[in-house]
Amino acid sequence: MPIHDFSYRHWEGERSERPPALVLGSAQIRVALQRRAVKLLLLVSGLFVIAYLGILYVETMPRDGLLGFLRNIPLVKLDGRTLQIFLDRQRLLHYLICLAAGAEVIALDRRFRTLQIYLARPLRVPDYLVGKALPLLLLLSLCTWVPALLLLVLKSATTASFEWLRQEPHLPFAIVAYSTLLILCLTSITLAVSSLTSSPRLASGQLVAVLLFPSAAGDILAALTHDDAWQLLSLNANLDQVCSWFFRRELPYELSPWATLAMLLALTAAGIAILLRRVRAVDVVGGS
Amino acid sequence: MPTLEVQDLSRWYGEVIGLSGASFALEPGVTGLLGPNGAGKSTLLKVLTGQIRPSRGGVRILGEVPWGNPDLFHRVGYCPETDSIYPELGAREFIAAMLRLAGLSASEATQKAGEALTRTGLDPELRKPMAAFSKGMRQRTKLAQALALAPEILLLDEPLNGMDPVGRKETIDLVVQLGREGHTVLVSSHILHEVEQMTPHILLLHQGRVLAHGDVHEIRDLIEDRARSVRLRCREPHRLAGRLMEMGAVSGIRFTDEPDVLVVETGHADLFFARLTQLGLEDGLGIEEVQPLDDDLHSVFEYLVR
Repeated sequence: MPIHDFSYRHWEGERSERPPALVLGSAQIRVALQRRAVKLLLLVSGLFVIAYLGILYVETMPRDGLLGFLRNIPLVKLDGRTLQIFLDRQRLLHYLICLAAGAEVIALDRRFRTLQIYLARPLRVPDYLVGKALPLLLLLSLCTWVPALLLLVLKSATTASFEWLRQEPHLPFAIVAYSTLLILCLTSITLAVSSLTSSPRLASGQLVAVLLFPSAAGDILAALTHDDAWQLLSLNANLDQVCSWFFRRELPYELSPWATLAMLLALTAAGIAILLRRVRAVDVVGGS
Repeated sequence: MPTLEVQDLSRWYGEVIGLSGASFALEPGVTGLLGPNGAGKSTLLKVLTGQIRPSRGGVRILGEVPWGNPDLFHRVGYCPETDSIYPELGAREFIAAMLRLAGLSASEATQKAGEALTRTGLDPELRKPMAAFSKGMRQRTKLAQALALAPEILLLDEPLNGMDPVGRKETIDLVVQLGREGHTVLVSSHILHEVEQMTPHILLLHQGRVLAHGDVHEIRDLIEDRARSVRLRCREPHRLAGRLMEMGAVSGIRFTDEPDVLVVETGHADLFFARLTQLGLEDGLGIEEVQPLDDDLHSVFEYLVR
């Protein structure tokens, strides 16, 4: 009969109530913000915001003032059209943020085989995925709905009026809905691509291919066949279409907006499905 | 009372069987998990750590099912076989980050990480990134992250791989100590003499099945269909050989290069040892040493697996 003195003391200290996904996410955000590329992209995004603050400033100036003539320029007005442009024209920036802050995260864990350590901790796969997604969710939010809503709030504060809400009551919904769709779709695609390989470089290359090639193919096929249905292949076109739809602008393609919305939701779902399949302990047999 | 119970556990990957109908129960102490490559050791450890779902059968650790039960892993430590570290991080930083996932505050996680590193023989103040670590240091780091919270259950997959002899000795001592303290430690290794230094208690897997489980000497005793070899040292080996042949229960005797040593083969170990005791009482034979040659782990393993 073995003798055990049971002298060990299991740690019974007070556990933090913070969800593990948030703990992991905070660490990931710190790592992402240490990257020079991410800082640079945030700076560029900040320049967009500063430009729109300039528009807001001009809008509050008297028409007969020194720079009042600027108010006659059509785009120098913070409204649904310019906010749509604000969200839509930063697309490349959004892609670059995905590349800089998301393409490698799961690929690195696969490369260093740390997934098995994570998954043998008090951490579920969804916790892990949310933790890994948090930097992208945060950074993309900082370039989309956060500044857009902030601009609307500032507009209300500086003009002391909610006239814009009476004229375009759909704006807050459009900003939040489009941003949410964009963020979820890009995050799930980025992480899914990252989970497909253990090489961070390959993951980045694959992400560039996934973001650009279908769009190029959609454009080419639509031009050759004169049929906009091919644009369903294009992530860019789908996002443009949905953005215009949400902002109640003229649709750029002859496509059902419901079809483009369904396409974006399907891409998001496919990304999540890939993640749930790929993010698991390495199977001993098969070596995947 | 068992802390870890496995009942009719099977796990297959398509047509490949990883584990087949494994059943056993472990109590506090060290158990060596043995088996040739592909025996199912790593599959078993991944099922126990909730990373793989059993295809059939069940596992209970501290009375709970590990699959889909992350809370259980506050009480289970796992040291994987492969390197699982971020090379750019320091050891303490890495372990503290993992401990924070278990709900520790930053300061407590750092303190516990330091204590665990000290216990595995690494300097907690070492600042260099793990990329600059030797294989042995990385092994110690993995071990430290597994035992940082003193979990009741420790699952160690080949923890001695890549360690230098001093590191191996220290780690073996640590595992033995962990067992004495009352942890349930399941440690896999393919180096039998090292397992033997850690524990006589083994779980032997072969082709996904539990081939043997228990004390290595008891397992040897159960192997009745194979003659056992016993090395005897005495003053008069030729006379002893004659007496042994007379008394029966001996199937063969051979003399060795050493003049006072003979090796006896017996197919009836209990009877042989009983009669040998009687012989020992006789004057003149001068039996000085009796050493069973094949109830060590290596012999049992060879016999059961090959």
